[in-house]
Amino acid sequence: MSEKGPMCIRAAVEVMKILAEYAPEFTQEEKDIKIIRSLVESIKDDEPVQALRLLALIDGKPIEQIADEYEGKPMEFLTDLMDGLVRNQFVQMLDAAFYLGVSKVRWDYGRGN
Amino acid sequence: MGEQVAVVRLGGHEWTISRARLGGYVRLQKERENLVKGVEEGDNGKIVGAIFEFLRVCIPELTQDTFFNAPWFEAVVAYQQIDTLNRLPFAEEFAIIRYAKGDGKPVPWDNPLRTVLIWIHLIAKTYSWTKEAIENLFPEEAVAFVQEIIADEQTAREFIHSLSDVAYEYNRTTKKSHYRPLQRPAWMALSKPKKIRTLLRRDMLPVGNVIYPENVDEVLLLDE
Repeated sequence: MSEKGPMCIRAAVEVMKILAEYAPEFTQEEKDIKIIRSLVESIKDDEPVQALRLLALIDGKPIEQIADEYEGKPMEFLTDLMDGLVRNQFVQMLDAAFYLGVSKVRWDYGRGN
Repeated sequence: MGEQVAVVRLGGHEWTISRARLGGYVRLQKERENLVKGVEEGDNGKIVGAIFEFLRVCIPELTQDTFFNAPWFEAVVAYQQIDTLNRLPFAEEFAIIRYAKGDGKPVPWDNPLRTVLIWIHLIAKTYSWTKEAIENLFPEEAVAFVQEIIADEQTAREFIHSLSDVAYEYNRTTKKSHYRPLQRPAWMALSKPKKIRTLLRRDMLPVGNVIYPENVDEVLLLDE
């Protein structure tokens, strides 16, 4: 999978685990753009490498390649990360993570739609 | 207990799936346990493996290639569909499930097949049915049979206990013996809890057309 298509389940489970870590912050938001911004900001403040891992998993590429590709291009990186999250039905992904037991948190207010 | 089906789509394929019978149901439970274990251990391989095996119980022809190349949401939706389809109907009606109690620790003679074999053993020794016939029961039928078997065994044990000396405790003060019945398991001793009736004042109800949640039996209105 991937190459600008949705992820396979193997990568998705790892992404769910990363999202679950930051879910308490972004599930407070009501609109999808704010949700993603909140997620990216909390990752950036905590552990920036997780953002690289997210995009690497979403695009199905090695993390080193992602780091090289986006070196000095923070806006492109953010755009592609957001695009990847939306393409992979990020909002539903947290529901799925909750259903599978990977996340203990679910949506508080909005569902990003 | 009717024949329910779900149409599952995964990686461009489509399958119409019926509810699992006892054999499949127990295997689904086992895979669900493996999924929980995988989540607890943070083992992605175990999580994904459990989802794959869970789906394979109902879709034996599902290949690894199809599963791992399908979009993640198709795999999760398929899991959810099969999970929902195979929920035990009327589970709360069975006392043995309602008051289920266990420490969750495996017995020293535990083995991977034991979960299935306990069901087969209990039913086969009572009714002398074949393994295949038992595995072909709907899970709720099997639960009902097992409940009756255990209740029968308990009453038989109570009868034997009543014939024994140990059932009659001697009271030195009154110089009389008192019968001490054999303790019953909680699910046999406790009666079904009463349904709570909710009283709502009319002036506290929302205005307009109210759509009550499903399974709400009755809402009594109390006038001021």
